[in-house]
Amino acid sequence: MGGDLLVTIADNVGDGLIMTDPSDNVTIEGDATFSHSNNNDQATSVGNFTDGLLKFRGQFTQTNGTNSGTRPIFASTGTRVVFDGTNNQNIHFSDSGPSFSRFQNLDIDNSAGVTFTTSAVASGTLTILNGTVTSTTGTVTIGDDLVDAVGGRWQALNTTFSGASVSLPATLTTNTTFTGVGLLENGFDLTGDLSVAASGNMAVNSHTVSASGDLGVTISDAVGDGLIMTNASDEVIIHGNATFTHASNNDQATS
Amino acid sequence: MLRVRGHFTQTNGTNSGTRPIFTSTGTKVILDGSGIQNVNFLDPGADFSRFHDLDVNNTSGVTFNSDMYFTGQLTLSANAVLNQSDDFDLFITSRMPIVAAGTYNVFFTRLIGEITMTADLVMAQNNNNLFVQPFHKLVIDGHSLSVGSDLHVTITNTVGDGLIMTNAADEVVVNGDVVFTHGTDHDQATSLGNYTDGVIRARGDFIQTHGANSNPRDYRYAVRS
Repeated sequence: MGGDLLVTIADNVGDGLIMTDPSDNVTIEGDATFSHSNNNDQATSVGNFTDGLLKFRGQFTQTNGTNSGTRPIFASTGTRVVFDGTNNQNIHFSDSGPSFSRFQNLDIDNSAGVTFTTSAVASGTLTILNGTVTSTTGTVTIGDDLVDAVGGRWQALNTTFSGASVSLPATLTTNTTFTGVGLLENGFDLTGDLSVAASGNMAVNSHTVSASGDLGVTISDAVGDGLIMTNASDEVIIHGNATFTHASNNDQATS
Repeated sequence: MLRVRGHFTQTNGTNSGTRPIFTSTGTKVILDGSGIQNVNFLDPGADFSRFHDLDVNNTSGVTFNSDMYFTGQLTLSANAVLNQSDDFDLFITSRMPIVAAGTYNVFFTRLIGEITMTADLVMAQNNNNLFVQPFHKLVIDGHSLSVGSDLHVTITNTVGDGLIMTNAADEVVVNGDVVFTHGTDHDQATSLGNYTDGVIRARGDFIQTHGANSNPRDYRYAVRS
């Protein structure tokens, strides 16, 4: 499709763009905008993007209608999204969240780079094939792995990893927070701060992790959360300050 | 192995009580920054936040700004500097510190375990006070211990607590005062059997006192000044 795409959903179940077949393949050469109609506070695209391939080559914007609340307006649960433009592409979500608008698996294949201009969620794996990925504000949440075979191309300001078993590039530049089970599949060299949020953990799993900034670890009443170092070869190097604490009103917290 | 090159802080959330928030039971922590590093635990304790093994590898100095508890080995590398003021205590449960060519500038080291020396130790600073706390023991075991300032030993009704010198090679040098006492209300306390061999060199005052309600008890020392 050579021009722009505008998809507006309403309270009608199953309206909008539907991609549920593995052979679905849609390419948008222009800008893509996903929104919902005013006063349609039950609108959802959950179930609309379960399979196929959706390529964006312009800007990506998820916006919303008035009086419609926060809804999953662009919610991929299986459709792979690829940003493969030739100019820098912006990604903008007005209502991102793991239960709202989000990507599933996301590929970045743009040598000119891709920029997140808001917080965003990719519930699956985010793969960088070409170009750098930056952000101007907010946090990018990744539900599974972050793949960058070259390394150093992930440069978002803040990144949250919410997955259970996480693979990261050898090098990355971002402030990183682990909120999931966080069993590391490899070590990494981080330029930025490293945090483990309450109820999340980061299990070093016999790898070496280095952070140029600070380490913050918050534990809670959840058993086994926090920074987990239980192997002799675990190594964590913090070039900045290290702070360990527990969350308020968690009087059973223990490390 | 957790290497930290900045400050190390344990704090806590509100309404969460005192909890073991940073509690190493095996992970070694290495403080190897190039600038001064401060360490502060808001909830230190043998059952709360504590280190197991800690290596101080910082020639600019590491400062403990709270009480500290060690359940493993505290080691100073060559030329490393460790500071702790007289506002705080450093508690050791299992192994005497390894100071080597470092500067152990710690006012109050308190032993709260059953500790057997495995190497000679020189606590060279004139502010280094060593306490063998009630119910606990320090076995010299053929080694030499030099204390820069005072040595305090408090025994209780617990059999065999206190300072144990039963090896001919045992040597304890106290550059300050040496004080032997027993705990209040411990009227069965005795050091009989604790000092059967070796030598204590006292270079300050030698004081034997006692706790309240504990009656006179036996103290026998072999002292050569």
